[in-house]
Amino acid sequence: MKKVFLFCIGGTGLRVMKSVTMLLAAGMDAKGFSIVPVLIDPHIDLEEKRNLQNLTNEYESLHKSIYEGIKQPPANGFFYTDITDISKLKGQQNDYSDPIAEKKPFGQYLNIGKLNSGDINNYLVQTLFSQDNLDNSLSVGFKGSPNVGTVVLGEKIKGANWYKTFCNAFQQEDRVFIISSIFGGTGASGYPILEKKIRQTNDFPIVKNTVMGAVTVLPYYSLEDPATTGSDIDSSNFLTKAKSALAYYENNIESDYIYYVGEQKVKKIYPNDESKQEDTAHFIELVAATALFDFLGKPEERPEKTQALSRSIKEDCEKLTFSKLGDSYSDVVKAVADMTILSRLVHILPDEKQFPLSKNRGFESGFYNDKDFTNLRAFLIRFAKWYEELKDNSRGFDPINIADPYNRKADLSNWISDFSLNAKDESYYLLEMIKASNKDSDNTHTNKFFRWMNYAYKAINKYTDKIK
Amino acid sequence: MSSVELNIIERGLKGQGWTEEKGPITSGDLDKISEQRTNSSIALNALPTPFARFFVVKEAFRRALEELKNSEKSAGEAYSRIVSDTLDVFELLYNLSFHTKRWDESRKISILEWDIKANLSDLKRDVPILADSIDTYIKDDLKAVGGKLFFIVLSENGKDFLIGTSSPYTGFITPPDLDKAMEDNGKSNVSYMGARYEKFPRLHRKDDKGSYFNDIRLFGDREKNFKNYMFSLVDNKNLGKELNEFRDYIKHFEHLDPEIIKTWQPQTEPLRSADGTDLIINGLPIAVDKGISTVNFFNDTLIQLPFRLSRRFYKTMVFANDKEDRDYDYLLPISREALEIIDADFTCKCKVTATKIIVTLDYKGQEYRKEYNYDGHGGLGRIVRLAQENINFNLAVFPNILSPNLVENNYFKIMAVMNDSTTDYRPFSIDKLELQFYYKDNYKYLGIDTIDSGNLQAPFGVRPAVVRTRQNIERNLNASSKFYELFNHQFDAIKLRFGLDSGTCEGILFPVWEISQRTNYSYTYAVDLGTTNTYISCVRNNEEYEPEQLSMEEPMVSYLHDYRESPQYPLISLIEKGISSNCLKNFNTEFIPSLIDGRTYSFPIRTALCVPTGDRSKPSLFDNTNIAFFYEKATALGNQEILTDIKWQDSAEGYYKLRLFIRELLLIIKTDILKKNGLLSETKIVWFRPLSFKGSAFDNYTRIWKEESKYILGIGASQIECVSESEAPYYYFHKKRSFENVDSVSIVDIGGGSSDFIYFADSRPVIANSVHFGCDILWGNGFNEFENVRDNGIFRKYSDSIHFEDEELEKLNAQMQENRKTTTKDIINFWLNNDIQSGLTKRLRESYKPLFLYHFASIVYYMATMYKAKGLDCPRVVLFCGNGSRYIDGLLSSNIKTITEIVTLVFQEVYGDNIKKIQIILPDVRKESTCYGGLYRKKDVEVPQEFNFQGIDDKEYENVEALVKDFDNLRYRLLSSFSSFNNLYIRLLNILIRYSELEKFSQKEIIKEIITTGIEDSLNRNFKTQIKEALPESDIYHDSIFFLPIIDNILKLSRI
Repeated sequence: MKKVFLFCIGGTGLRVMKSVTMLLAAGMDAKGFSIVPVLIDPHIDLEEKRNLQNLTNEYESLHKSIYEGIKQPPANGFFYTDITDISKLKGQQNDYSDPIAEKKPFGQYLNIGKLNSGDINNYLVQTLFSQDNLDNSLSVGFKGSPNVGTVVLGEKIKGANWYKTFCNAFQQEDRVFIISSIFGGTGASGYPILEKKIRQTNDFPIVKNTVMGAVTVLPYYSLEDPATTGSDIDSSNFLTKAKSALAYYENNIESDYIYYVGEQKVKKIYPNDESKQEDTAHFIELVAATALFDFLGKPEERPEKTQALSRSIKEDCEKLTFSKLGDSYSDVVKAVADMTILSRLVHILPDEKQFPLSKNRGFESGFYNDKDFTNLRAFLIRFAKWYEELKDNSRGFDPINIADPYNRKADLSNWISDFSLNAKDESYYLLEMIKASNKDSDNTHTNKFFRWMNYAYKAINKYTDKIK
Repeated sequence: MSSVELNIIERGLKGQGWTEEKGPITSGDLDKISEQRTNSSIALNALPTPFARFFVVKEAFRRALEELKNSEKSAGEAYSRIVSDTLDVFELLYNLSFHTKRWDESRKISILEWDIKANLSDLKRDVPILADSIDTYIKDDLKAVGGKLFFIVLSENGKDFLIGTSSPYTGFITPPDLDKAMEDNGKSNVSYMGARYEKFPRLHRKDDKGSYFNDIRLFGDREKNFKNYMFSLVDNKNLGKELNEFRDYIKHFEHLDPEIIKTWQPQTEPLRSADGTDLIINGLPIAVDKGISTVNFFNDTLIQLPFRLSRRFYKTMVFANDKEDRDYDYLLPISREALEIIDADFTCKCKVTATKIIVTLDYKGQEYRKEYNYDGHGGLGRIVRLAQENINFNLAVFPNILSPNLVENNYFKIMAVMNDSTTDYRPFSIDKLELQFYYKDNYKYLGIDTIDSGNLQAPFGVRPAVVRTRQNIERNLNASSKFYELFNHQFDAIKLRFGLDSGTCEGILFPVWEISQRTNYSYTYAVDLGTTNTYISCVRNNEEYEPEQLSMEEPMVSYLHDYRESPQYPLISLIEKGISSNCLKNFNTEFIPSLIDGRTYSFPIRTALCVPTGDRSKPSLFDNTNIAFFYEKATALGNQEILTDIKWQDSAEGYYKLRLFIRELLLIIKTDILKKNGLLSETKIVWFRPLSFKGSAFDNYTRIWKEESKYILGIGASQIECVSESEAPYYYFHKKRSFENVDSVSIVDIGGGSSDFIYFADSRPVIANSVHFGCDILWGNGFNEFENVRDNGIFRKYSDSIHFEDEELEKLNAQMQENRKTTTKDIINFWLNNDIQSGLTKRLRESYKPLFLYHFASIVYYMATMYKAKGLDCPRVVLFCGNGSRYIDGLLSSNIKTITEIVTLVFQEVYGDNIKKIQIILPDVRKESTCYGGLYRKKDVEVPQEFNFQGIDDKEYENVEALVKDFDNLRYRLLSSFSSFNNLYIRLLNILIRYSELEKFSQKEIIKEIITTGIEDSLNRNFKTQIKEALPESDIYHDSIFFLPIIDNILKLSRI
């Protein structure tokens, strides 16, 4: 199976990856690629990073639970795409989770102390780096200093085991996609290094010549004033940094596809604490995630020159409903709608005594209390939270009108805002699940969880497919 | 609502899906982005390259330009600071010459080269991770640096601060740690991002307004020359394209800033690294300003004098809002560097405010400025108040006039006197006061080198300074003195350097010279260097004017202090009043008077030198030896002695002292000529010799006068004339038509040490005679050879009773009496010269007329017998001159009839009763007459025959041996002559009684007894000790043995 190695660099990379995971969970089409995420962030113990790793682990666990042993898999479905841990490729057992983690201060990491006091190179170091740069522990990242990140990441990538693993696992149709921001430290520094590194991997021509894409996330939020937070990161420089970096990149982009996403006016201000980076999910990250799916649809041949891609929204407003997003967002809206409807089904079916599949397919309490379904329920809670964050952020991604799950009579035809679904209430979906079950004659497996998920997907898709 | 691109810019995207655009975002696209502005310097390193800092600074210039074009697009403080700091590197280097001259040695700038080959290799060895990264990126990011970076490093007290690194994008960049901490926004003193800059010094800008790397100063606010330099830098087709943003920012001012002049001509020199490489950064030829504006015109210290500086003699500061009662002044704080370039007139002004003094220098239409305060903090200069430092100080310059003929300005003496009035501990010594002299050459001031005395090759210079006196209160030395001597060149500036406890300070004096005018006037000076007194007269050549004594109305010495002239007070007292009392005595006793005013100081002066006690082996004018003008007027310093025996020398050392005496006289004469706008080269000098000057003495005198006149006045031997002391007066009185008859005139010149006789017949000198028998015999101790003996009766009689109202004179009297080296002759002369207070004349008149008569009679008797012996007619006129002759009318009788009768009786005794009437002349000008006469003696006049008369007949003796051989014969006849003379003396006493000059007194017999008793023994003894045993047999005896017993008798008579 062809793979896309998804390099998620820095905090933004992690957050975009979260959106990618959520969209994949919702059944976004990865065009037959399995996803191999490589998280590149020097933060040690970053909760967001741990959460993402947990999320992808949960995803992978659910993916396996659903599709393992299915000989005739459907063309699509929830958790359809495989997300593979790089450490598991070709039996490699490298530390996947912290490929570049470093605890030392930057100066120590460089071993600056080895320079004699009279060495003229001291002045070079002073020219390039501030004392703060040198003193800052790398365990919390590069603190918005891509000049530091460049040095560290350059070294970390050079000859790193995980990179060798990546090269060894790389196959002919595989691709590379890089997610990073341009206005921070890690992402801004890691992206060009990685891009350069890949293009200079002469020992692996298929790596060197792979179709490569990247999404460059431009400023879309700001942070609280560092004068009050004491942080080293000053978001008032984000645009400036982005501008500087873009100017610098202008002649240095080596990806085949470069996706730009950002905001012309900053909409959101987050607390300024680089050790946490608990920034809530943002629509821009979601849009950035969509770049991956666009990229995966690109031809197998590399374009002659770098293609720069952007997208817009139909209306410049704070709350983005489907109509305000524009039709091009239907796949995303559908995915979110599908997943939220799934969530409603997960909520109601365990207690739906009259549901015929309970008996026909064994979807009884044991099934609903099983680990897999429990995991699904947990994942859906994460998804719901993620969506809530998207909805409540600024700007807010708000195309779904989630009905009260306890109101069994709720009108579900307007589940997608500004769009009328034919399913007027939940019974429409339950009925479609029954139909799907009735059509299911595959006796090659006994995976009830697959069947349940497959029936749900088909039922939901029956009504939401209209949006595409 | 319209659709909006999810991007930081609108690029005209159609549709909401992922759409291919025309290409990646470009710099052109980015210009449309209006970003947030930041005042923070935190995390400006936006680029994924270790060389991000280079791009940050480049971006700063882009944004600064953007703001220039659209004021609403503020660059933000952080970027403005970076632009300012970067420009500071340029400006600091441009002004490096200026600053280096003003920084002390603890601060310097170094420019170090970082070479990619050598130094990156070292980095790879020690810090490989960074080296690899640099190696990866430098090829692309810094390809325009040519493999080299330059680091600009400031060293301060051994600590190094990187302040700039060369950059292909902006010329220089500053290190991130030099960025400013955001919380200091708006404060005058910023704090820096990096702790390494905690002790970064305040580097004051050239214009003293703000400091580098501290306050924000964008290009337009910078100094005009720097702006033009920068403009010229970027207006250069060799610039690399990487410099576009930087160039555009600077060039934007072309039409914006009227101070930008396209035709501006740089006065710069290439700036080079420590390795000698020119700093050319991507086509920017970095340079250092060498123009006049770099000159450090000012010292860091401003010395306040505790008096007003003389505006007449020195260039002074012009005070704004000056006050009449200002009692201080400032030495001009002009730096040494400024002296080297100042080639036009300038004005130094100062404005005194409550907290500081602002000094400005107006020079060539520009104003240069420096501020001073009392602690020197805040980047200001420091005011040093000498009064606060307990220092009294003054400087005397002699002469204070220049000749228009530069070669004649060949001698200047500068005396510095200082007193440290600090009690107990005295921190300042004269050694810590240094003077450096400068002359103007092609209008620039150049230092005059110190030339050792042994160096005869140097065309001009300053002799090593000589400390003459060191302050020592216990030794009555209240101040220290130091002398500088310039030879063969004038000076036009003096730098004064005080090494005070509070720090070294410097100031400059610019003398305002009086320039002698070119005229055709020339002068002849006659110098009568007598044993006791010296007199100088002068007359303008080719004019029939009465000769004058040398005196002057204007000072010949310049002091530092100002004074106001007043007709009510002598100028000298006004001048001296302005000198600290602690310093005045040094000036008065070790230097030349500020002027010979004819009142306080006048000729004749005592022939005396002031010398140091102790070692006198290396006499040097003023350094340790000078004419004691103060002698008999004031006490000497505790380290001084007075030498009065100048004229009669018998050793090389003695002649050298005489030379110094003559040198000082000639220097005064030179100054007097220049003051009178006379031609030095046409000067004539007449000096006088006693008849007894023969052989080596005459040769020595001749040589000294010739050499010193040549050195001081530049005149040759033909302009120097030696005239016999004795004959000189004749010409003066003859010129004055004083003689009733000129058939036979006798001139009797009675000096301190000798008496000279010359007989003129029909205005021709016939014979001349000189004997060591002057008026000082009256005050001396006969032939007693002990210097410290005090047998003289007059001294003994009055030494206890004579006192002076004047404290100084009383002190001097006590000193002279206490000093056993001071002779009775000197003490009595001191009493006589201060007769108003001592009252000695009156006492002598009352008690000692017999003594004076004896002295006078012996001279006349000797003269008469001599003329008779030579077969000359009895003179019709006898003229007494010489300073010594003053006792005749001053102490013996002021009645000319009495004197005439005495002289006539003596001549009658010798010539018989039939002599014709004798005219006696006791002229008003006594000492002066010799000098005056010397001025009128014609060169072709015959030289009189010298006749050595032994008191008997016209027989002259070939040498001492012959005299000794004939002594028995002489003695016999002399005793007879003495007998006659003594009898005559008794008769002469009666004349005094008759004229009521002397009361009838009972001592006549006693006197007779005194003068007749032991006369033969006296003659024998003195002949033996003074001639036979004292002189080589081969010597010619130029004296007369007639006076041998007379001298003894005079001593005896002094004791009656």
